[in-house]
Amino acid sequence: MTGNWLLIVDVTPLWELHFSGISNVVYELTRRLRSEISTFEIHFSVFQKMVETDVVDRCILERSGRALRELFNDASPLISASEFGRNRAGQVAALYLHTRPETRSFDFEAQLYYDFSFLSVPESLSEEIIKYHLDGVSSQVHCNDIIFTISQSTSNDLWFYFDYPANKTEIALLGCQVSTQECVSFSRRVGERSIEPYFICIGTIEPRKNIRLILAWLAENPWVLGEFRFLFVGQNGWGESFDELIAEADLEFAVRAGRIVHTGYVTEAQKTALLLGAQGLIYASLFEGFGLPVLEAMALGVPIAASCSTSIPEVLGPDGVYFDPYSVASFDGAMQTLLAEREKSDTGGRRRKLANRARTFSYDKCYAVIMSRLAAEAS
Amino acid sequence: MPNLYRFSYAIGKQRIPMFAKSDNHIQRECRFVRHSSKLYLKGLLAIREVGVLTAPDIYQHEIAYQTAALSERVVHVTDKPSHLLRPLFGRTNVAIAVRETAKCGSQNIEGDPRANHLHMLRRMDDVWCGSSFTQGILAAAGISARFLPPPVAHFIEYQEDTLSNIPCHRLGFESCNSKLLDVEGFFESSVGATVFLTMMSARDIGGLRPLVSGFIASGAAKHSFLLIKYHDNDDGRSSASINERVAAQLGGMAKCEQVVWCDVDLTDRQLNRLYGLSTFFVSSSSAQELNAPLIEAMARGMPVMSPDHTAMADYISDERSIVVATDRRSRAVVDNVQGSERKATRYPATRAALRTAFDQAVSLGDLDRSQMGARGAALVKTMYGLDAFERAITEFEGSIA
Repeated sequence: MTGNWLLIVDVTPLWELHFSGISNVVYELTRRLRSEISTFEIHFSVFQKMVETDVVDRCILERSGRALRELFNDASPLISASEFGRNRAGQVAALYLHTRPETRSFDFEAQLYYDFSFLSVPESLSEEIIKYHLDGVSSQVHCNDIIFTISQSTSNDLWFYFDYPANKTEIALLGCQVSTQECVSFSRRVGERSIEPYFICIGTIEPRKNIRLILAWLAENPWVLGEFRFLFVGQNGWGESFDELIAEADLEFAVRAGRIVHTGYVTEAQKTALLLGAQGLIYASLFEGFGLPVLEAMALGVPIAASCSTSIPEVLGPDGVYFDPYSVASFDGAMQTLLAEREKSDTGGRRRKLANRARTFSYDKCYAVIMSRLAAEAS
Repeated sequence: MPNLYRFSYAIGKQRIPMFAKSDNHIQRECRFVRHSSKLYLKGLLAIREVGVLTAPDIYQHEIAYQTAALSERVVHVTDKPSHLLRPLFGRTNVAIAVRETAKCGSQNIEGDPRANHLHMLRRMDDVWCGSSFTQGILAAAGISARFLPPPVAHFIEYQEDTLSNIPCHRLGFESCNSKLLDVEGFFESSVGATVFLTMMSARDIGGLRPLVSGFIASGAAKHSFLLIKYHDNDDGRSSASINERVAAQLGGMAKCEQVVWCDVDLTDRQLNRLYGLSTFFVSSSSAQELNAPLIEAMARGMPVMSPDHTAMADYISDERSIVVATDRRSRAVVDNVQGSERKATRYPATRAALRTAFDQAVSLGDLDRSQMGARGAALVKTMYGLDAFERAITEFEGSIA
């Protein structure tokens, strides 16, 4: 049985100093690996080097990879994961929570894939990033005995690009952690004061996030800016900057008047607070592997107008207001729906349904899917 | 219920929407579509409901299909499967394959599955090809393609615009920059003479020298003219480097005022005038997957001279044309996608063969010419007409029902 198995989990994304995106997912899974009882004897590696559990625990506690960086700066050499596995008497499995080497080293190997955006939307990434991910990707994929993906959409890509068999693929939908403490604190700060209504758009400013669509619609419907502010949360990434996009849409006047606001980077807590006060989240992305901001807004019961692209409908489900990200007319229809519901104070039902659906996603489930499949394979 | 067709064409940065204020008419949307694929599009527009999909691969969920009005009857057709990053998941996907001889070799990037043309074709529910030759090439690569040529002959229009402002050049003199005249003026000065019209793209330029030297060496050069309509690529865009390219091919060749070339991008009506004023149509291509200009010329009843290899084997024969003999030993061009042992097929026409063909052409009487043209027109109007296209589409739809 699985009692004989040792599991090495590669948690390289914990190297990040400030967890976000993938490092947040790895943080959530690692936290459970450390606290849940497992049938595996679990060890950790970073960059395929074995690291002690107390270092991993520090990263979890501090939500930062500072401890790992100190460890790697230390002169003493770290044992490689493959060597560690070879010296063990029993069977050894590996779970890679991000990238993996191109060759196998263990009796059983599994990997978690987030998306294949470097193949699916290369036009929105730099050549360097594409080249980095392309290098050996086919070998990496086929080295695995099982691949976990964070959505059906990513599974589709796995089949399409690599012919990877469906029976060796398992979908482990992500969860989200919205700080209720932050929500309470926000509500207390606001008190009885009314907030000028605003819509929020979350995401790095990059072509894939498609904020051009929102700006094109605002340019056609400037009256909306008289009633609502539009907050764009996220730092400039690559492609046109926020200011360039504003100039392209002739919306400088709205920025000067404070009707369109670009916040730049915000902390997780600030993001939660801003989401909580919004009339709705607008998510126009052309491609997602999952779409975490959508789930976060759902958890807070915030109405959402979202692109019908890739994984987003999987997450948002039937109670989202959808639009085609290539059509200003389709986006206009979605916004009219949101505005009409607000006008009639008829958003309560949608908010409840979204929050209920959000509760069906959790990192506990994600963790359970991964560990139970690994246990089944090991047995 | 008839199927609904959605045509995708976008590649790379074209997939990033700009929302520019422009006319969204389908023809304008498809400005980057290859000529042969435009013929498929026009054919479908004539018989079915057709729209455009910029990025078909983003729609993967039932909610997405509803939002973007992609019902179960939608058939997604793409003309660039090697650039199509993913198909329209959950719906019928069709690739138009008209470039399988030449393109594969440059498409493969090791480790990059999206650049593997054959991988993409294998993921399609159906592959349409314009010739038996392409069908055979794909079959050898394990892909079962459907012989479904576009209705080339159906869209022949006869309305003409003048060519009076279109410059052309006479061959010879320094660097091909000879006396400049306009095309209309050229035809006025050559009334009563036989004019051989040929259309040549950048990828055919290797065949320019044997064509011109074969013509000059033939008896045709005494009283006839060879008019070369050159275009730089499939989008019909000319470039400043054409003079240099032609000069590089024909450098050192004797002067010959009987050879005239034009590199200006012409409208459909101007092309109609060019066809209408010319006597013979000449194709000397070393490989073709369809050869739409040749079929268009035949559909107009023009006598033609052409090799009968590759795609032309479907419609060129001694009865309907002057057949240009070719070297049937294919040139050794390694095709990386199909494996290092596989060679791309090329059958270049020699100077001697072209000389013979030109001599044969000028020796034909008017009656023989018109009968040859009529026989060619009868065949291609049937084979590449709208009725045949609609029958093939209906058969395809029956296969996916």
